[in-house]
Amino acid sequence: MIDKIDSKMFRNLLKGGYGRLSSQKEWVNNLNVFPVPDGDTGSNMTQTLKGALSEEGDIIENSLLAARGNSGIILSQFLYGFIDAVNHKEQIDTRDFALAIKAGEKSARNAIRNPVEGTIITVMREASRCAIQRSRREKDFIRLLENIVKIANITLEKTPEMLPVLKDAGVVDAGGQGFLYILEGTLHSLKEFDLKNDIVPPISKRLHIWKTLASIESVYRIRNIFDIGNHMVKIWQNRPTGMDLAWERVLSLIKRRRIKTIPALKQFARRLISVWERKIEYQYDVECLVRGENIQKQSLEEEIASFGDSILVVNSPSITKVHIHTNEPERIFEICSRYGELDDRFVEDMEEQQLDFITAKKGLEIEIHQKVIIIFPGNGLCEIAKSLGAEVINSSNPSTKEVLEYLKSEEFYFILPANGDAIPASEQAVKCSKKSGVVIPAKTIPEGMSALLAYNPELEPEENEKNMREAIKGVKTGKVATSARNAQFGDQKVNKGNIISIFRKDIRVHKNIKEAVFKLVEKMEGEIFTIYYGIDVKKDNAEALLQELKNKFSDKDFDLYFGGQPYYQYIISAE
Amino acid sequence: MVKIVTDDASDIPEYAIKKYNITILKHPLYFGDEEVTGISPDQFYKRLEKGEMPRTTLLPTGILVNTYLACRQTGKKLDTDTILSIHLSSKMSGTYNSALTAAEMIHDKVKVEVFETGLTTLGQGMIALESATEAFAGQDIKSVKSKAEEVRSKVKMILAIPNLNFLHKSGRLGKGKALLGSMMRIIPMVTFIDGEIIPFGRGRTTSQVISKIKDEMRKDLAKFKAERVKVLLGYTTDKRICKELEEVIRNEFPVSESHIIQMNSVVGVYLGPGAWGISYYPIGG
Repeated sequence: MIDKIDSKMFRNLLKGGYGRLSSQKEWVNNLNVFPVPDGDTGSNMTQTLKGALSEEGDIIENSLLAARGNSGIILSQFLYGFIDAVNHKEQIDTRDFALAIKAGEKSARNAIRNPVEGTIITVMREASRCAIQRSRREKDFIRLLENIVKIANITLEKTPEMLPVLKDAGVVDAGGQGFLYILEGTLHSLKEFDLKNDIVPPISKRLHIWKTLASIESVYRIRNIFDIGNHMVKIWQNRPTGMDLAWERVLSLIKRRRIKTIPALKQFARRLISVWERKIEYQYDVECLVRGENIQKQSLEEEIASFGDSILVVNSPSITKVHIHTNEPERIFEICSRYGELDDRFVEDMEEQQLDFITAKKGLEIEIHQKVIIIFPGNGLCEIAKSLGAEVINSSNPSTKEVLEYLKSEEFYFILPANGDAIPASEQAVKCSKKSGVVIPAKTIPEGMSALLAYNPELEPEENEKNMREAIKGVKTGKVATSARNAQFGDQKVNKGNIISIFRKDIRVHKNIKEAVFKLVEKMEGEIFTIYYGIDVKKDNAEALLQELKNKFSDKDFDLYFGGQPYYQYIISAE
Repeated sequence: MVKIVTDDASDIPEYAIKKYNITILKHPLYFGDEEVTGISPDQFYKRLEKGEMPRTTLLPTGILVNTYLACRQTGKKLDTDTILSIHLSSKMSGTYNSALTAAEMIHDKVKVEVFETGLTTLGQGMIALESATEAFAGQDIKSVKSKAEEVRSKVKMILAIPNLNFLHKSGRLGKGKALLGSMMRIIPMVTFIDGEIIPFGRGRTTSQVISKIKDEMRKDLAKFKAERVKVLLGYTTDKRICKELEEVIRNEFPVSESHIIQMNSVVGVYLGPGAWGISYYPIGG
């Protein structure tokens, strides 16, 4: 049990908090929608805490000097209040700790002109409340901090309910999240536990997803999430592994039948986009230090109040830090200079920051990982398909279970059954796997091959789907086989052992294989013929046949490949 | 007046080079250790077909410096006040960076703006051609450069490369690798995005490739609401396909200008015999 900590230990705790926060900086940045969506909360808080921990000088002064941005300055004020409360003590117990948190929270709140609920301030307050309450009995720092972290977490999750702009943007409060990370890091340096890193696609990337959703041209009703089709794939594959409230909300709204149609979904997406892209009222983030004794904080604050918002004026005995969002930076500096010597002037164009933040940069484009799975009977066909980049199931008619085994990873699947009978099993497999995918109804080997050739991994899935479906239509299939039984097809009687040709529903008996192939070529019409010879055909025979075809049909183009398929001596594709 | 300098990765119609006084710098070209100069494209491709493996290197900074200085001198008095130096994608070659260095070295003597096309051959040629037209009309560097930027944002180049091995060996295939190694007789097609080679698709026959090009042009012309389109067609060894393509495209689209060009050897090194392609620039709207 740890029931006392000294200043050195406290510093280590804070270092733990810094470590946690800085490793999660980007995540925090990408939550930053309030007060201005400029994506720097995490960076600002990290910088502030780093400054506070610098080896030389006073922790309070250092954090104030290093403080940047709204949440950075609020954090520095928290530290100020906290340290001020414990500074005179050699060692503190949990009660002192709790009282110091309370003092920190008060100090931070006082620095803000118009505190808003649902922000870091709320998380600080609830953490402080919990600390005060628990520390009455709890003497162990670890258990106390565990409780504080828990409460801070719960509070953070409620921030979107308190601050509508967060809810619309699909995030929790960035500053609150930063504060929670500091608490977690502090706890972690007292006690080893699993810290999970939250990974989040940058907001620019996520906005791209929502924009895609907002652009769906359809008035369909949505029965379930996969009805949104390929567009949903983007979200599905790029969904954040951690918390993305917007995503969770869409899912739950669709489940609860609150979003029933694509237009309703688009409206949701548009609202989310508009929050992130909203016009900033005050363009510049202006900060400066004013050096001088007895600076009238109140009066300075009032003087600048009409020039902007997000005003923070905080001070230590010798310096005052001023922060404001305004359109008139020079005016602010002029006012401040009347109160003392100006130092560390800082102006940031938040419109520019916002643009950087929300616009997808190069290399941030969403890549959907796609995969084509083709069902082909025969080694030759499979090798060709592999060389074209497909994954193959070497079978003529696999079961649902067999297909399912190929649908494992988080990719978007195109399944090419290349056999009419294999379509139902493929469709069933996609349904069972809960993975996103689509079965392209290729009913024959040439259709499968054509669809595969039309596939381009650089294209979007919906475009690939379109191209592959289109490709199937442009190909004709003919087959040559030896009949396995006696049968009657229309006027054509077939005996076991007969050589037959099959084109569409037309089945004919021929004297020999050559005649069957020649008749097929005539009947099928086309410019380019691709011939796959089966497992029972000798290579020499196939090549001789190819030569004869080339001689006879000199205006047509022929290609011959080893297909290795059973039953059919030749499968012919005409394009 | 603005002077256009470019490198021979630009494929530009012969008439335009003369008319607009475009300076084209030749990339050094080697077969083994032998530096090849003054070889005609036909001779070059013959050696290529025989299996000789050529290579190229970036344009040396010194050559660029000398060229820039010479441009200033030949231009009577202040005739040439600025040079727009147009080069291929820095992801493909170091020439762009070499040009930047050269421009920096002599910035007090002559003003050179270096422009990266993100393309090569016909696409880069289109940018150079349009910029030269603008410069020839007497526009200042700002207008010429913004013209170059406009063309860069609209021009599309699609190349059909029946044998990708040349490109593959050069290590410049990038994402185009997805098209490699097929056992099927197919014609791989590539395009360029952000200076990189990206697979565009594959066709079984020339007519399939042509029809894919047509589809893409139709889409792009609609996208830019273009009233006209300017077209460059290029080949390494087989002019017939370009002729066929030109006819098809002229029948289908409002072509304001089209030229067939045999691609320069420096590009041929990577495209190999039998390659051909198109770049088109939708205008108006």
